[in-house]
Amino acid sequence: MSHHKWNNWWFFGCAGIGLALVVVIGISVGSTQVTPGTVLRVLAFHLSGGWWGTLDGISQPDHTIVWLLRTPRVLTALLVGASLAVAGAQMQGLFQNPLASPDIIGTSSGGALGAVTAIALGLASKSIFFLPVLAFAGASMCAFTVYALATERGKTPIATLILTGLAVNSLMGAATSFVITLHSVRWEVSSEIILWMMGGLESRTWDHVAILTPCFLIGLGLAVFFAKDLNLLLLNEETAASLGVEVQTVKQILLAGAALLTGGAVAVSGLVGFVGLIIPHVVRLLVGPDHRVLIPACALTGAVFLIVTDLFARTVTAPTEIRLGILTAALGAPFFLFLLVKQRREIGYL
Amino acid sequence: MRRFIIAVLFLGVLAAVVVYLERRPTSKVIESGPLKQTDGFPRTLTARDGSTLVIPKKPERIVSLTLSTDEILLEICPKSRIAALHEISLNPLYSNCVEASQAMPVHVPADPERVLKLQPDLIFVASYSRAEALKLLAASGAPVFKFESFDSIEGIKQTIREIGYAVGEESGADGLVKKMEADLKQLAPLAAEAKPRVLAYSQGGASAAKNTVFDDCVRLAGGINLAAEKGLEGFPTISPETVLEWNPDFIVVGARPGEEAAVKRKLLENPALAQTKAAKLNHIMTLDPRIQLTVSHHIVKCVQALAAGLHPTH
Repeated sequence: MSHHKWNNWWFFGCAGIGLALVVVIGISVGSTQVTPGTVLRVLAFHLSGGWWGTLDGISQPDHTIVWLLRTPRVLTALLVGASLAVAGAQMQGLFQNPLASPDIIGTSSGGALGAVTAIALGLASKSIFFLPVLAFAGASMCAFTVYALATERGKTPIATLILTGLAVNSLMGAATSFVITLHSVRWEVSSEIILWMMGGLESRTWDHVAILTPCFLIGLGLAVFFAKDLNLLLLNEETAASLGVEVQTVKQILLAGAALLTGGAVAVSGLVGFVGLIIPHVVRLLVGPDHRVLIPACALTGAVFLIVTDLFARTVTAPTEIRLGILTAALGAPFFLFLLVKQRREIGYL
Repeated sequence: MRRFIIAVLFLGVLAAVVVYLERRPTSKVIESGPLKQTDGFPRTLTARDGSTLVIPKKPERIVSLTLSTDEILLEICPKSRIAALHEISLNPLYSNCVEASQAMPVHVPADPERVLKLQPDLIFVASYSRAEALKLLAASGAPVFKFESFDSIEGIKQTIREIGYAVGEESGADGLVKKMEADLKQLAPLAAEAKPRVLAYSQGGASAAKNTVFDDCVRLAGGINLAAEKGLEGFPTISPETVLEWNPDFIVVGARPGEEAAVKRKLLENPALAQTKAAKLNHIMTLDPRIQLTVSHHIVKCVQALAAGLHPTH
C-alpha cells in the first residue's frame, strides 16, 4: 500500500474513533449530572434496539435527558458540521478559490430570511417544523435564484455566480433586517431572532435529526459521486470538458448538492459560519486535494469539530451557553484572515 | 419555463412534507382556552383549537418558566407546591416579586434538561416559547401550559383564574382578581373627570395602541390613549413629527428607578417632541418598566401610577 493511502487509512481510522469518542463525551456532558454509566446504558439499549441491556434503575428524567435531549443535540451537531464542511469543500473546488464558503450562493442569507419570518409570525412556537422548513425553503429559493440569474445561454460563469450571490445576499440581508425592524418592539421576538442568527443547537429534537439526515445523505452522496468530476474541474473547465465531464450539468448538480447541505444545516442550527471555510483547508493539509478522499474526510472532521465546539459552547460559561456561531466565528475569522494574507503574499500583493 | 415548473414542484413537495409532518401526533402542549369546570381532579382544559389536556392530579411540583406566572403563583399557591420559578423572578430590573422569589429554593432558566430533572407535574411556559423546547418539556410527562400574549386587563384576570383552576387554587385566584377589581374600583370616579390625551412613547419611537394592556390602563386611569384614538393597533412606531402633529397632553415613557431624569432629558433632545404640549407643560411621565410591562396582577400598579400622574389633584 502506498505511503499516501496508508496515511489516509490512518486518518480515517483516527477520525472515526475520535468521532465516536466525542459523541459519547458530548452526550455525557450537560447542564445536569448524569453518570457516564447511565449514558452508556441508555445508548447501548437504544442503539441495539432494546436487545442489549435494560433501563432498570435508570430514572425517567435521566433517560429522557440522555435519549431525547442530549443525543439528538449531538447528532444534529454531527450532521451540521459534516454538511457544512462537505459543502465548503465543494464550493472551494467549484469556485477554485480557497476563500469560498457555502454562503456564496446565498443559502445562509435566504435561510435566515425564512427562519426570521417564521419567528416573527409566531409560527416557530406553533410547530417544530415551520422554522426549519421555511429556513430551508428560503435557502433553496435563494440558491436557485442566484443560479438562475447567473446562468446565461446554458453557461454559468463562476465570476458571475459570485457577484450574483453577493447581490442576492445583500438583498436577503435587507429583507431580513426589514422583518426584524417590523417586530423590534416585541422584545421576545427580537431576542429569539437574534439568538437564532447567532447559531445554536439548544432544544434540538429527533425531528431535527430527521429533517437533516436525508439532506445530508443526498448531499453527501452527490458530492462523493461527482468527486472525480470535481477533481477534473479543478484543472479548468475546458480541460474537464475535453476529458468527458459534462461541465454545466456537473456544476448544476454540485451547486444543488451544496445548497441542500447548507440549507438543511441552516434550517436546524441557525447561522453557524466558517465551518465550511476552515475544515476543508485543515483536511486538505492532512489528506491532500483529491476530492474522492477529501469529501468524506471533511464530513468526518466537520462533525468532530462542531460537536467539540458545541461542547465548549455549553460548558465554558455554564450554566449559560455561548452561541455556537460566536465560537465558530472566533475560530474562523482569524483563520480566514490568515488565508487572505497567505493568498495575497502568493500573488505578490504584499 | 422548465426552471419555473421545477421551482413550483419543489415548493409543492415542501408544502406536502409540512402538511404530512403536521398531521403527526403532537406533544401535550395546550394553549389556554375556555375552562371546563370540574370538582377536584382530574381536570380538563380545552385549547382554542378544541384539543384537550388533562391534569390528572392536583399538581405538587409546579415549574413556572415565565415571570407573569411566577408572580401569580407566589400569590395564590402554597410555596411547598412550587418546584421552581424562572430565574428572571430574581432580577430586580424586571421582577415584581424579588423578595418572595428569593425565599424559594430553586430557580431555573428555560432549560429543558434542568426542568426535567425536577420531575414536574405541571409546567407553565411563555407564549413565545419555541415549539421544540415545548416538545422536550412535554417529554417529562407533565402537562405543559402555554399562555398566549395578554392584550387586556380582562385577559390578565382570566389568566389568573385559569392558573388557579389548573393548580387547584381557585379561591386564591378568585381572591386575587377581586383585590384587583377593588383597587381599580377606587379609580372609578376618574371617569367623570376631563380625560387627558396620553401617548406612550419609547426611546425607539414605539407606542402602544388598541388591543394592548396599556390601552386598558390609560382608560382605567381616566385618560384617552391617543394612538388608539388615531385608529392604530398593537405597537406601532410613530415618528416625532407625527407626535408633534398629534400634540398629546401627556407622554408616557418607561424609565428604571434612578434613570427618570436622564430618560426625560433624552426624549426632549428631539426638537419635535420638545415642542409638544406635554413637553411644555412638563407632562412627560415616566413609568417603571416592572409595572408598565407586567402581565400579572401587578398591572394595577401601572393603572394607579398613571392615574396619579394624569389626575394629580384626585
